[in-house]
Amino acid sequence: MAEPKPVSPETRNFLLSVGTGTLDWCMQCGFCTAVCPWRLAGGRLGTYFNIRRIQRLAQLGVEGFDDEEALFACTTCALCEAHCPRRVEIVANIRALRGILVEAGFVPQHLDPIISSLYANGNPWSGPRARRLDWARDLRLPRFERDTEYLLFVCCTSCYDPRSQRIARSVVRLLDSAGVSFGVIGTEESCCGDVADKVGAGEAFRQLALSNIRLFQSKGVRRIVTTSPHCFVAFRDRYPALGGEFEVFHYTEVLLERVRHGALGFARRLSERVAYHDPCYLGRHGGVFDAPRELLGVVLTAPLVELAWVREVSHCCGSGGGRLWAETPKGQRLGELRVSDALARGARVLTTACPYCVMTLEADCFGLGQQENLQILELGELLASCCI
Amino acid sequence: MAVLVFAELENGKVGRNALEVLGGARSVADKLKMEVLCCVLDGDGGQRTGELGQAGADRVIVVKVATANPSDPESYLAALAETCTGIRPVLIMFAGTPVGRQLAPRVAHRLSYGIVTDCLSIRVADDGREILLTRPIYGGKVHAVFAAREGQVITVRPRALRPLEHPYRADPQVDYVEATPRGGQPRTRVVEVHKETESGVKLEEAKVVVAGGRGIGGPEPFAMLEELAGLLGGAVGGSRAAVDAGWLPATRQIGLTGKIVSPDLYVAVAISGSSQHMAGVANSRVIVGINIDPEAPIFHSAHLGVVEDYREFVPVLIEKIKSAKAC
Amino acid sequence: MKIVVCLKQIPDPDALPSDLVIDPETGKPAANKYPLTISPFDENALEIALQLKDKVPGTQIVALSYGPESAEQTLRKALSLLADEAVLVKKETSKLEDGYGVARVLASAIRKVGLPDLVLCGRQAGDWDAGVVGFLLADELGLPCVGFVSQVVSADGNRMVFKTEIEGGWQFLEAELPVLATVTNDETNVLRMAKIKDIMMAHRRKVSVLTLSELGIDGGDLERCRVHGGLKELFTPVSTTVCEFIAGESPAEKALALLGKLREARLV
Ligand SMILES: Cc1cc2nc3c(=O)[nH]c(=O)nc-3n(C[C@H](O)[C@H](O)[C@H](O)COP(=O)(O)OP(=O)(O)OC[C@H]3O[C@@H](n4cnc5c(N)ncnc54)[C@H](O)[C@@H]3O)c2cc1C
Ligand code: SF4
Ligand code: SF4
Repeated sequence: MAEPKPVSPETRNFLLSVGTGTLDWCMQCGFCTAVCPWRLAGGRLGTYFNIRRIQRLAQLGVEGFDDEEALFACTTCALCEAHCPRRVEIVANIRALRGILVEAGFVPQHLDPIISSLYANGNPWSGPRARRLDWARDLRLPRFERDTEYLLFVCCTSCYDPRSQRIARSVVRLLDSAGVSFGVIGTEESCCGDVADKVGAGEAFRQLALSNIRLFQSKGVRRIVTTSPHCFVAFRDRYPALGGEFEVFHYTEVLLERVRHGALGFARRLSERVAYHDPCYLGRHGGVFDAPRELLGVVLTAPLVELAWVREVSHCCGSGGGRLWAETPKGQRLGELRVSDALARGARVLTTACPYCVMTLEADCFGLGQQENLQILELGELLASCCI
Repeated sequence: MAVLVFAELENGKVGRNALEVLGGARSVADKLKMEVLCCVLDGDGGQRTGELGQAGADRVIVVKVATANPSDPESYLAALAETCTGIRPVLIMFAGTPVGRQLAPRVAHRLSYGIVTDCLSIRVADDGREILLTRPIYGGKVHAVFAAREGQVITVRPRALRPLEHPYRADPQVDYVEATPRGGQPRTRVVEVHKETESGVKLEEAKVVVAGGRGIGGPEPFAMLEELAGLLGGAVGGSRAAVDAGWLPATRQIGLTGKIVSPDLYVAVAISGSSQHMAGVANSRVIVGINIDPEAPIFHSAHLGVVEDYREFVPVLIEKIKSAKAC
Repeated sequence: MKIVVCLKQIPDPDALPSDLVIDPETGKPAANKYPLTISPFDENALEIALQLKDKVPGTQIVALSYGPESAEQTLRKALSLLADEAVLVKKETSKLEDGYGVARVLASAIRKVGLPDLVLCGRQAGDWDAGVVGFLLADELGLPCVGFVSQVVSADGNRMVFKTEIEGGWQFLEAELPVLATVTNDETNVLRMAKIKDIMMAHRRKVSVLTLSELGIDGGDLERCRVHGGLKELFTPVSTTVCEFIAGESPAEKALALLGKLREARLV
């Protein structure tokens, strides 16, 4: 038996005051823990990290809710929130608890370089600012002008990671063929700040967001189309509070609209068995479930393979909320579950619409030695391959 | 007027650090038309006066302190400061070793001299009147140039200055100074000294250094780096991140505040290449960076770059070296 | 036992870009947007103090900083790790001061709060990297000094045994208290995480503020005591190295290509 620890009303009130206001709604039913994908991953975190318990301890102000390993395990996928009968804002609670540590100067070691690089370079990848547009080196990329309709905002990951750059290039190609009026700003842009926000680095998030908001406003941006659902959600849901009101779209929404208007067609159809993984930030957080599926419907000849957990209850790939930068032992990774499920359903291609998901699923597919059997493709890449 | 060097011996020998500082002192003193005095502790360097002369000293001052222990500056600081006070050299130089870095500020304090540490270069200005000292700040992101005061103590970064190419003189004048012990027991005492005697090669002297960083991800894979270093006849070190994670002992840290190395071949595995880390390897002949991230800053200083996951690349590299050796 | 730990607040070294510009007047980054943090080796020193407090009942830790108002943040971090007292000596100028001045201020503050058994400093601050203040402070206080400490091995009564870094190895060194130690990092002294509850409590605790005049120091004196020689120039060193990326379709191909290059350069 563990030693009994005292209940602290003071701590409790403090936690409520820093933004865990919905903690009190929790009735400890345990749905959240039951559905949390870590349960299925079978590793240490599956038992060690228990979201209901964290919230219980925090409710009472009992020591233990601030255990670093557990607190930074959550991927902020929000699957638990989708099931919570009391509508507790679980992700906001996690963010606020992390924030107390991080803002007081206690940053978990693995996140230190990320947050530092956000300050130093305006991106989490230690990429030089000046090279933010390198992904488009040989493209004729339109610059954002006052009469451009959409600002195309490319995720830092797709700016700097060579694999991920293909995503940005595909999206540009699609927007181009669809005749969308879009342009980029480029090196002056900073990271959307989603990762800073979710790991509790509130000040870093604020600085990044304010610098983007100022930049966008000065260039006359009204509509933004993003390659990544993380930027999409950050701009749409987090920027308004800081004075940044923009109309924000994920590229799948913009493309679908063009397809419907007959402005975008595909010359080639795919006959492979393709499965779609709902990124948590596009689906649950962003509310976009149908646009990717409808786009796939246009290019696939066979019906889409639906995974076991899809749409509102889709399972996370494991890389949100700062987890992209955390190490999880092989055999205990969330992405492995998605890859295995896709394989079990006979899919040959697993597609998704988020650069983090692509990075993670691809690594986990390789890790399982299944790269010959399952191809990981970002949706834009798949679509672009159909528009000769 | 003179330039004074405190020479710390390494295992009783005139090592690279002493040679470098004396070499640097010689060239400054020549420009200023001054003598180079070299202070050593008796016992530590009393027998090595000839070598110190060859390394650049005009005069060697052997300081005798009954209770001195070379690795405990506290035990001879007072004697050294007194000796310096008697001479009042324009410039007092120490190597940037743990001992030198402890002595320099305190000697400066006692003489009311200026103090500049970690100098990368010492230059006499064109008009011959000023000594200019360059040292890195902010981890080496910026360099600062100071004009030395009349009466300046400095420490010199290891591997920044060159030893003399030709012996200077074999018979320097030798003076002995006996320090008068002042009241009371010494307040510090060395209990036990551990020199790294790990089989294999000493990090600072290795011709090849293989180093691992945070991206290595755990202690076990360092066995792989050991194997690679073994095949190349080198030693293993790492970044501070690797040390802080507990994967390597602190004595294996390379960088600004770790070991300064200057091998012919430096292989940085899963090290991002922060300025603080690179400060320790800048004088390597060839730097190879192995990093999964093509944008990693290591590629701004590396001569050869491999963009790969080290977990896949290093085993293959080991295998290729083995098979090359076999035939 | 009473311990004073000296903590300096600096711009987070990891958050500074490679094309950093430093203002020669203030000695700080010209752009004023970088997060502030405790200098890394001071954190190691704080951890050593905390470990002593864990081991030796009744240990009192005083966290001391000389800096602008913002350095209060730095001291709160120490309070949230259960330092017993926090003292800020307010810096009255934004001008760069040298190690002598800082050591004088810290020495006066330490005398004011009462000479402890152990004074801990980081081996060097992570901004100007000079590494002189701790040693000068020992002299100002007339204390023996043990440099480059990575661990306290034992502490009993009026003696302490330290593990310290030396050229090519390490040693155990015994010192009579009171003593000043400058701390270097190793795997045992990485600063711990705080408990959220303690962070909360730290918000409410008092940081005592001392002014220079309370310490009997004339601020103008400090500016004049710039003995470390005239700062003439600051510049950004430029690297001229151009990296040659090893090409290849697979790790194996790249390994062969790399070996070829190394052989050419007679390195293997
Ligand atoms: C005053 C001061 C003194 C300091 N002194 C030193 C010092 O002496 N020495 C020192 O090293 N640091 C020192 N530092 C710390 C320094 O600033 C950096 O924080 C540190 O060097 C970072 O270590 P790293 O490169 O191992 O880790 P990171 O910067 O985290 O880099 C890890 C790298 O590994 C790569 N990687 C990850 N996985 C893989 C994989 N599977 N395959 C290949 N690559 C991979 C990543 O792309 C990344 O580039 C000092 C800092 C200060 C403030
Ligand atoms: S599902 Fe909601 S109410 Fe139930 S334990 Fe979790 S947070 Fe509390
Ligand atoms: S957000 Fe996702 S990972 Fe976090 S607790 Fe909820 S279900 Fe688990």
